[in-house]
Amino acid sequence: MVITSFVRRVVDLLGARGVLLGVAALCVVGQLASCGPIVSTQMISDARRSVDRASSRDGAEHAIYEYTLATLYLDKAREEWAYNRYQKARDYARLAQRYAEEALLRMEQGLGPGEAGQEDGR
Amino acid sequence: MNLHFRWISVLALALLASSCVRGVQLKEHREQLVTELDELLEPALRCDYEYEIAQAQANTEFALYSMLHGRYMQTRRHITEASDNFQYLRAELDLRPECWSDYVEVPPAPPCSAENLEVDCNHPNCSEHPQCGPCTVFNPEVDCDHPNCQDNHGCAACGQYTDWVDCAEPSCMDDERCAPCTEYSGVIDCEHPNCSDRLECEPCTEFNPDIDCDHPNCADEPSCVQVVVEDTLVVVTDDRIEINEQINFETASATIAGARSFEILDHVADALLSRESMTVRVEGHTDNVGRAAYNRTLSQSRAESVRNYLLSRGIDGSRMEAVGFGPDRPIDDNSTESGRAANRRVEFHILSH
Repeated sequence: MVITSFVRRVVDLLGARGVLLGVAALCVVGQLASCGPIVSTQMISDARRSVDRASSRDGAEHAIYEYTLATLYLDKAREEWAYNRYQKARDYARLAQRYAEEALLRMEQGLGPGEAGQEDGR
Repeated sequence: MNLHFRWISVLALALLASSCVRGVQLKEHREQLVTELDELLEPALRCDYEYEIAQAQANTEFALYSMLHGRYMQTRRHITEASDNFQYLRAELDLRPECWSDYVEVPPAPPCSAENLEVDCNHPNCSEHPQCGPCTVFNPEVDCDHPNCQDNHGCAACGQYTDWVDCAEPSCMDDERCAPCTEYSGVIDCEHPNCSDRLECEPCTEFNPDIDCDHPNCADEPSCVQVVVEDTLVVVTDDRIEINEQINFETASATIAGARSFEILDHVADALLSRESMTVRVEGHTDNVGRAAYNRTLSQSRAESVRNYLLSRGIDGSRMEAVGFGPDRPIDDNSTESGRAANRRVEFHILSH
């Protein structure tokens, strides 16, 4: 009853078009607000898969430098995500994925430590 | 109320100042970490400190991020961890100069004598060279060809350290003075040190109580000289002392006559003196003129007369006997004058040598 009277008052005040625009704006804001954790979660998940791939190929033995950095950055990304610092979580997840891929590249091509990063131009 | 406000203001200002100071300190630390990372990353990767440098790099990154967001406690923690990582790495890498980019590998020194025509014992690779060790380090026995053995006593020239030649010394092995007596000369050289014990080099009678005229050093002995004289007047054979001239007597007498007769008897005496063990029989003989008994008595007297003369010359009487045979043992024809002259004679027969 109270809500219905509140809605009627708002429609009277803004008009039907205004209400629709308002609802649309609220949806966009809501979408943007929920985007942070979803994207960062996805990135962390991708990074973890890459690290798992490197681990399954004995990255801890054959690409120690890259693999160690990848795991440390992945842990840090999770930590930041847990503190709701999604932007930094994404940054670290990106770094974790990068080093995991460098570890894989190094093992595939038999490169030296740190050379995989130079190979792919990063 | 005002008092409280003042205290709160002072406290706030103090906290603000403290945080500024800490912020400056952390900023300095951060820059230091970045510098350390730039410096140690490459050497650490070169020498397989991958895990340690990864830890340090991550902690540095986390410290930078935390500081950026004003999280000083987290920043301090990461700075401390990164500092520990770098400290460990630096300690390890300082022990391994080959890890650093400016490390220039020193080429191994060439073999001992590759660049030295002669062995240079100051060369670092020459310490094991046989010529560079002490004299007997590499040679159980003294090797005088070893350059470090030059001053060794056993390598000195023969007689260098002594006034005499020690033929047991290695350096004297080839010395002429240590060679056998006749090795170099072929003849006995009594001046040679090794000839001193040769008989030929001993004095005439040192080892022979009796004078041995065959001894080379007895040539000057009077008794040996006399033997040479015998060659002209007296000859000692196996059974006789032969005289080359007759001993003369006065007519119908036993008295020796003529200086030549005494000269002959003197030589006979010398021959007997030089042969102390020789015993003789002095025989007197006559021709057949006159009575035989008389002649026998006369020949006996003449033989005794000769014996007496020899006694006077120092010949022991026990070595001589005198016998007169008269005309009983002629050696020639008594019918001729020359034969009778030959039969009138004195002979010396050797009984023992």
